[in-house]
Amino acid sequence: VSSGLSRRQLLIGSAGALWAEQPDVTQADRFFVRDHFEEPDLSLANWKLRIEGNVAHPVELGFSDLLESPATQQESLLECAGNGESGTAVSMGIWQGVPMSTLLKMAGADATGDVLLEGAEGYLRIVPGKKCRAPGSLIAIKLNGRFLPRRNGFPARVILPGWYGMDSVKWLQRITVLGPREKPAAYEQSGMSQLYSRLRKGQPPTRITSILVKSLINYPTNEAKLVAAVYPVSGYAWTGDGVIRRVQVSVDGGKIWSAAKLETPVRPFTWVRWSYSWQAQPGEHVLLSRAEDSAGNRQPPARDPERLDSYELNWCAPVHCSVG
Amino acid sequence: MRTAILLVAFVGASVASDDFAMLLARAQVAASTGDFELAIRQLAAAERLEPGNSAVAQLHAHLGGALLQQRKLDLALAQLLRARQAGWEDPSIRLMLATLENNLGAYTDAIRDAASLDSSAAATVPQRATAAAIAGLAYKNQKRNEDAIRLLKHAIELAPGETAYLALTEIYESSDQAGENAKLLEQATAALPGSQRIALAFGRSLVNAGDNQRAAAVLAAVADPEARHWLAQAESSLGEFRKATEALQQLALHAPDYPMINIMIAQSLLKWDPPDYEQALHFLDRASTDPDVYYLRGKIYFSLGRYAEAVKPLQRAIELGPAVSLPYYQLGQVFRKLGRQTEAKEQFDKFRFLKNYSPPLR
Repeated sequence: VSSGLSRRQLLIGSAGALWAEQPDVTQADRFFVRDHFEEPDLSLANWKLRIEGNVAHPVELGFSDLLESPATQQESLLECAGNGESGTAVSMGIWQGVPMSTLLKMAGADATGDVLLEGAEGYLRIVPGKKCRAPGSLIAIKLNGRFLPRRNGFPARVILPGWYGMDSVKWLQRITVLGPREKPAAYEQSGMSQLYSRLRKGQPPTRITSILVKSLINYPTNEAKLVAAVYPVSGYAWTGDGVIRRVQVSVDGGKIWSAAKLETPVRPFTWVRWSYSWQAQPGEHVLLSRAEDSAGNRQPPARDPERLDSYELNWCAPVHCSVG
Repeated sequence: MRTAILLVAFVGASVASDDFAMLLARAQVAASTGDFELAIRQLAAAERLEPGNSAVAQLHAHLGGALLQQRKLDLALAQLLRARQAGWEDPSIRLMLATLENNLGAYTDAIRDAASLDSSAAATVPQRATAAAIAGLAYKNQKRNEDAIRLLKHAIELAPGETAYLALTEIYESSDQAGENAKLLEQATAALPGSQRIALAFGRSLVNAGDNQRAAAVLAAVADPEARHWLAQAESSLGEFRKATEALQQLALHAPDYPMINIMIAQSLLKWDPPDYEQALHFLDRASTDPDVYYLRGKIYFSLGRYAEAVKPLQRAIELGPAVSLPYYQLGQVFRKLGRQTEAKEQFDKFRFLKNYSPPLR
């Protein structure tokens, strides 16, 4: 521990060892993985996290410091910004770690500054300071009760609930608090400042942040062959801001929509499991689901034709079924 | 109490300043009274005054051990990591560290720490064996089976142990190496004759290898209720269906919530010559509302010639599992016996529609 932040200041806390498997949580070894660079080889013994830049006292923490810090738990879904409309780059986890706000405060960070997050593999993201200090934003060391899997950011990563995964920097090794309007040259030159922007014809790029409202049909699967009977159509729905308010299902390609039942409690930053009882009649069917969140955002029926990028793909994905 | 005794040893540790000595003493007292949070804070303050002092490193190590005993795993790991960073190289501490790292999911760290012990001159043979077993387990957790097998075999060569044998057998079972598995467990049984867990694994491997006569003899001597399940399989394969049913009933007695137990007993009763349909129905009454229960009930009524009674359970099986093909076929048979040919044809058509179709995985 370098100047300023001592272990004395870090109140002792335990993340707790007990863990019970829960339904609707993605197993750690099945959590989706998207990387920009090669996975770094880090060890508990040598890993360090530096907090520097526009701070009163730069800090260097070891893994023991995080283990001894007051830990919190945060349920949070992660989705890749480039996840397809029916893609599987979305997972739900229970994270444990130290609130980012605690560490920034201990370093005496400028309360208004944005933050440059740096992974050990060289990945960089600038994130608004307000989001880093928001309740729930963590330096996570555990996923579902165990240390992070190596490919998911071991030994420590950022978790920003409600935002697409690209800002939840893995293998975190440095947090640099920036001054007003400061843009580090290394970040600009790396080209990473150009990533994850919303591009529309004739408009300047805008930064992608919150996860858009979305739902998926898990059962039946696309191209399923069924016999005429009653089937429990089911799936998941989620959103980045607020909570899911309702999910609707269409079994005729979007002409008629009916309410699905929400099977699990709606909570911020998590997905909700839904179901719909479908009396399948012989013929070809196109099933769709659409979700709406508490802010009134609803899944669109199709991709915005003005979009030039390939992010935020949240339109209603069809599931084709043949009933004999 | 054990912690207190251990910590008294530090009273005579050499110290360079009164402040340092005071902090260290406070840390010792706090730890001995179970106030670990205070102990950690005092120790951290002492370490800032005298980085690299061996008394601090030793106290980190002992505090780690005490926290481990209290199941405060994160705090224990933090202390053990600090002990090692401060240069404390006791093999038992390294073993604790590797065990914790493996249990908490830091597999590569566990492998590194365990491997360093295996080559350490300070480590005893049992410590090296444990280290090799931990490294093997960590490789297994990483699904690196070749490395896991190498390390687990090495651990067994150094000192046969239950953990290494059982981990190795799990790998062989998961990779369908039944022959290797049976050989390994025969060796394990000879090396650790008192181990019930090894005996159960050996019996299970014999069942999987088709050596049911021997399996039945091994499993009959194992007290674990799980052994009754495997004994039933062995007896059933030997055609001893009454003995198989008896084993399952013993299992139900000791573990009434064992998954599917009532269905398994019913299925076993149906294998008797002649089948005991009434008893089977009795056990199905106790079973959960699974589609299989309704399907089996329908089949029993069909076998008893009680065709009209078979209709409802089979329809319920279809309702609960409409994508499963066999109940349609069975219901078709029932309708045919009842002379309801149109309905029978409808069910057979559905069966044919489904039977060659497997839903894609998602």
